[in-house]
Amino acid sequence: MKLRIHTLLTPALGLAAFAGLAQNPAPKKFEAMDYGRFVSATFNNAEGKNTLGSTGARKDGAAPAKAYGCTADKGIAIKLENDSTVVFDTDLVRMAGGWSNGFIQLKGVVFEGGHGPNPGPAPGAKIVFQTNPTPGWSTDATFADTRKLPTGPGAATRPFGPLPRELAKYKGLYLHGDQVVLSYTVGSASVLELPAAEKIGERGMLTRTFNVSGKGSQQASLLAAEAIDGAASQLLEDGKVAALADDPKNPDSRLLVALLSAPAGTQLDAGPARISVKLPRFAGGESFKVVYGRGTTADAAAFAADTARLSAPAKLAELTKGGTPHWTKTVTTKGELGTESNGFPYVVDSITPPLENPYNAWIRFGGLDFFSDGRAALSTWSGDVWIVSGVNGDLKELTWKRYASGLYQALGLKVVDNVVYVLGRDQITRLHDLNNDGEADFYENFNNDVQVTPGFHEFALDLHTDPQGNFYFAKGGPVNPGGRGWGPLSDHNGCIFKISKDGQKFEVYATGVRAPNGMGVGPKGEVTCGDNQGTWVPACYVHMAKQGEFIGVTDLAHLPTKPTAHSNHICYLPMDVDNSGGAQVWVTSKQWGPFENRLLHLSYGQATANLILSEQVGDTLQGGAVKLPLKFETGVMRARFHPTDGQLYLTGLRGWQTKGGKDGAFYRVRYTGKPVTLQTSLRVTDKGIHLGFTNPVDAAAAADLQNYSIQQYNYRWTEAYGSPDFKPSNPEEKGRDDVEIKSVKLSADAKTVFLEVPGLKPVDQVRIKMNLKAADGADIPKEVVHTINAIGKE
Amino acid sequence: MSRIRLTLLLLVALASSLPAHADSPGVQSPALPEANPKKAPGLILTFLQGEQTDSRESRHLALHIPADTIPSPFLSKGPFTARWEGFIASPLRADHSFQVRVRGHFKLTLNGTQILDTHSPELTLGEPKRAQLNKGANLLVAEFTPEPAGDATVQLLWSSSEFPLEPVPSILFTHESATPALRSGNRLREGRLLFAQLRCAACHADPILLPAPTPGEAMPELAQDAPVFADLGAKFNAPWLAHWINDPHSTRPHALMPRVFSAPEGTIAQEAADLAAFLLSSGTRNDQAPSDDLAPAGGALFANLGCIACHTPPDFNGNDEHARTPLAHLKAKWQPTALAAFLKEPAKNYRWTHMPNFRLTDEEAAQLTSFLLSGTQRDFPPTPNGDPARGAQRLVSSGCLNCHAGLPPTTQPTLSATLQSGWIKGCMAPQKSARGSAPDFALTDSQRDALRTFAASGFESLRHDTPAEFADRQTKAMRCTACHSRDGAPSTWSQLDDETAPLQAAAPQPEGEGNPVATTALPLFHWFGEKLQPSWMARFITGEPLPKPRPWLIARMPGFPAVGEGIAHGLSHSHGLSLTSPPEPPPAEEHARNGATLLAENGGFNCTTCHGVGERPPTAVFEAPGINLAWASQRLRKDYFQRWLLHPLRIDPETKMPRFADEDGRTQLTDLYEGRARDQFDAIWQYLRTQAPQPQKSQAAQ
Repeated sequence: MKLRIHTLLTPALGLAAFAGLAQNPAPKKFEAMDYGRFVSATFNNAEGKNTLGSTGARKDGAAPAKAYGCTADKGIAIKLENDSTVVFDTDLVRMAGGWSNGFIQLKGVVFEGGHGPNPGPAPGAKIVFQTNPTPGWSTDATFADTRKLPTGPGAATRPFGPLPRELAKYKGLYLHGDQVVLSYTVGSASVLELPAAEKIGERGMLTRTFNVSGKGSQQASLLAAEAIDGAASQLLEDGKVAALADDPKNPDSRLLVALLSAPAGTQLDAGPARISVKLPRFAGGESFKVVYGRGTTADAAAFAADTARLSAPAKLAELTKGGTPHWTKTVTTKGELGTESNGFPYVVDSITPPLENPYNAWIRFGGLDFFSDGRAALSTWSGDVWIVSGVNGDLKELTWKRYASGLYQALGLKVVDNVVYVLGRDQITRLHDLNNDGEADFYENFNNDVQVTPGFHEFALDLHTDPQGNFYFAKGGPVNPGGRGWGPLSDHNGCIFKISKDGQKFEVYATGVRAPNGMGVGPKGEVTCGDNQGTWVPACYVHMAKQGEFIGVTDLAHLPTKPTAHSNHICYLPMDVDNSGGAQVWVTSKQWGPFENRLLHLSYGQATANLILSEQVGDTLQGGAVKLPLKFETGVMRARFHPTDGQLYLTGLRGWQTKGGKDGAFYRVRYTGKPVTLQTSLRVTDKGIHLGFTNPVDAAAAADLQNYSIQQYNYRWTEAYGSPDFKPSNPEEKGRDDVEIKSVKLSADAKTVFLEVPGLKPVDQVRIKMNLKAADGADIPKEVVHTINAIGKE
Repeated sequence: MSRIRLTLLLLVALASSLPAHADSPGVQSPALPEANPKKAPGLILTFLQGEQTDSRESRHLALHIPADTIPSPFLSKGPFTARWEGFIASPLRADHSFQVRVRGHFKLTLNGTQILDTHSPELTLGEPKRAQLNKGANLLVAEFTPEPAGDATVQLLWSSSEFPLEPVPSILFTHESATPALRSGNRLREGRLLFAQLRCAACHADPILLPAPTPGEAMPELAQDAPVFADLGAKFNAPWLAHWINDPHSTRPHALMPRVFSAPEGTIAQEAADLAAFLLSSGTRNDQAPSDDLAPAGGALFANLGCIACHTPPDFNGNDEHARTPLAHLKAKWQPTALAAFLKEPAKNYRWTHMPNFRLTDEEAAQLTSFLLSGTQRDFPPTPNGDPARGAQRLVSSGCLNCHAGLPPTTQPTLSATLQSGWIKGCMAPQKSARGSAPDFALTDSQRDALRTFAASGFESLRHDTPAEFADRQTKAMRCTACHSRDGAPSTWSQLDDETAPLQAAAPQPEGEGNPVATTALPLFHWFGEKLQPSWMARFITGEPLPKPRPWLIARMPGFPAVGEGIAHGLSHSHGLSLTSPPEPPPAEEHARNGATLLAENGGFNCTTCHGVGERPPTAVFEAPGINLAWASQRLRKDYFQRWLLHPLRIDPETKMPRFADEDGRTQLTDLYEGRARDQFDAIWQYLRTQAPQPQKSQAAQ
């Protein structure tokens, strides 16, 4: 008998009662939050399955061998009366399912931080009905899915994204009190749908009220309910009730479906494993209900009778004008003004966010923009939009109002013509306050052509417009839990998108980004992005993206063959400068010192802002970065310039790893008007490096070679997570090369230093360290990091 | 240390009847050859004791010499002065603050200007002094005189506006390697080590020159054993063994085993064949081999466990730039079952083997065996038939048992006698003709000079050693830097991508969450002595089955049972640290509670995203898993823990660990300790102390 030595983990001092770890008695923020009337997300079904397991495109319209009901890539879970819930699939314009006994299970990266799971029906929920991921409407009653399959290596084996617009198109949702009215088109007809939970006596029923306007282009069938292949369905009570044996664990249990006030000629259809409603071609003005309940076949008659006793279908247009305000309590905070440090004439003012609020809303800002009157709109990762007024001067009184909620991880926001456009993972939502009560009443689907898979990491990030009004945002790849490899890919993973001003045209602008937490669009339409170190991203970078370009992640190239080279970036950024990038912002203000038309890059991981120094060498753009001596308490990742005071405003969150300590923060970087001496230009030639400053530097120090050092190294572009440093002098050896500086010359105006370094060659990373002071004695940042893509002539 | 001591006791017992030490007669130290000036890493450390001096390289400007022990094997106990000379590099002109942690008197001079003059009778961190370093190399001279009694301890530290207080990194030190005093010291050490490793005293025992050492004080390598002859017939194959005995260095260039029997080039001495025949007469052959199908998985292990860092692949037959030990003879040498058993327990019959114990499973051992015996390997042609009876006689008469069984020497002259001629004959003769019947150790001229230099100095130094020098010798001997990068020099392993990639591709490992990864990015060697608690380090290097700190790595730290403890202690001393940390009071409850908060998600740094604590797994590891923190307070020295948290990239430029503290020593979490990083990190440390597990050994039937 062999003996084995075990080493057990037992706390030595028996003080495991210290509760801060995993046993925090305080309610979790994601649990305490009042999410409002609906939550947008990707949904798993009650068994935890997501839509990726589906058997394919289902072009034959058959039910899958496994049940995927209640799942949705882009779902909206709507709270109903009687503790009931439905999930509406905005891609497929279908009701994915409905249940009683609870709302949703708050699982996933935005809730408890889990990598992989998505929300689903609450534990203990009783499923009333469900449909599989197939079109919610059909012109031939087959409900066949005609969407294209994604292509290329690693592509998923089922389609993603919205249905063809001519079949059905989600238009948005209206809020009225506690009611949520869905708006969409079916063919040429417009449909309003109100989900509800109703009761007749003791019988609880889920109902869907439909109001149709406009004439239909052809016959339409509505998908009412589905089960796994083989489940029996039947018509009862002379076709007034359809029954579906959809619960294998309870053979007698049936889903019962009936209609109320259906147009003449409407038929309930009990097909294989499916109940649908065959409607005549819409003439406009139809108003009817589809009613769901549970029972046995013996209950069919009573169910039909109770259906008849339900209230008549409501006129839903009345609910599309805004209702009474929902988020009636505002939060008032007071900002904190910063002070100058070490002679740097920019100060960081804190615009105190409503971290404590009556709704326990988790304030982690992911989007920012301004209205023309100076108010700011900020979106949160948990799906809110808040509007704050008082963002000027001494920030003495800041009033925060919850404007919208329930959005799908709102990590980008843009205000256009004083209307808020907010980016969720599912769509760009245009928010309308129909009755001017300070809350959005209409969440318009501005564009939802983007494809969404259930992968937890494919964040949709940042929202910008170009001078023509086109919108841009970026989307990550579905990095696997644990970080290595990708989940099944859609055609949109790892892309930057361009959407026309009217929201009707959606196109892939560039491909091959991994997790680009932020981008920028310049005053001339320059599109920039960053990316986060990881697979095929050896280090964070700042990139100027061109239309049609592959940027860097081969697995997300969406090209017939994997690229063997990546595009040049403006510059790479070493880990200690940026280990997790944020957005870029162009200085569009004349009131923010000598940096108008310059590009800034934010580091979410380091909670810093960097000035980008760039130069054009022939067709090649290259440059570097200098860290601004500013401190932020959260991972700053979005920035805008204020329309009236011209100062820089930044916001960010702590949701994944950052040195920032605060969940969410909002800052103003205010220029005090004093002279600033900072590295401002960089030019690399065959003779050396020219480094320009905004103001004269101390001549004695600047002309002394002892005060400079240069190191350079390359990265290795592989699928590994990031890259070590490799010596250009020996590409196989890890490390950095010291670069000899032969001489240094200071220009007559003391604003440009020339470091003589003959023989420079393209290299991924150069780090120039310097020990200088401004002529007026102020500190100057000690390092410029940059990339050499091409060598210019002196 | 207990095992080392036991072995030393045996050595003592062998020589216990010998009289006291005397100088070696007749041997002259050869003149130092000319050497070209050359910069090398580290500093020159010279000990001065009366009229005696002794110089060696020192990677750190630090030392710790426990009370009543010698500063150098070539000096005595008692007062001494230590002097470091060399250069410290700075990338550009910059201000730094220097401080010394010292017990004694320490002076530091940079570029001719005295910076520190600190005297403390107790171990104290002195006041910081600001100094400006020039771009490039700066001349550094430091001198340390310990207190008359007690420990001698010194460690130079510095800080700047860009990094927190830290020991001055060894990577910045250089010295002039052609300095004669240093080369003399190095040659002396080389001769001393050769004398011990080649087991000169096993044959040439000498009651006068080699008296018994004090238990526990002698150079540990004197106790180095040789493989035990046990059931060789169940392990090896006949042709190979005859070839090996005939000429060990043709199979393994750096073999310690001498060539004992001479034979014309290309032939096998009959004595070797006889001896092989005798040795193989014990044990039963077992040719049962693992399936060839296991070879790809074994090849992947060869690449992923780091075997490849010390060995060329078995089908490699050429010159290796990394001086790895060749394996092209394995198929000829081993019977498969025996090879698998050896891989599982390399030290079973040879405690000082350089081959470490990887704690292989049976399956892994079978896979590796299959791989190691695969492919085209070196051919060992048939050898003359051996006579076991004659072989048995040779075993005794040729002196094999002097090393292999530890019996008293029988046939060789005493060391004194061998030295009479100036030590130029016998084993030390360069030409075969002058060597006579003495064994051939394949010594180079330089090695012979080193041995003579050592002999000329007398043999007293064998009776003493210092942990720091032992660690220095054994980290080289065990090829620690084959796997761990040190002072900017990449590990051998990390330079072998071209070799590892095809081996890994032949047996891809499952990827994704929870699966370990293959990488050569292992912890950096140069911080170990300052980073790890000596007791933990000793257990870890020795190969105790501790929890794997980095379970996400396929690589695993193998065990070096003979030398682990000595390396651990020596590395600590080299960094100027004693083997014990100052005692800490029990954690204050509120402080530790704050630490728990700071470690966690709400109000903390969210360390628990990547780091598990005991049985609580990390909440959401993404790309960069972290070490389970429950062991932190037992594994790490507290100062290092602080330093790591203050500036991780300063310690490991490749780490994914974020830096939470800014240059001013503040974090963004201002709710606790007003954002003072050191206080916050101390709170985390105190919390982790409450979570420290106690290893409990339980026994379970397998």
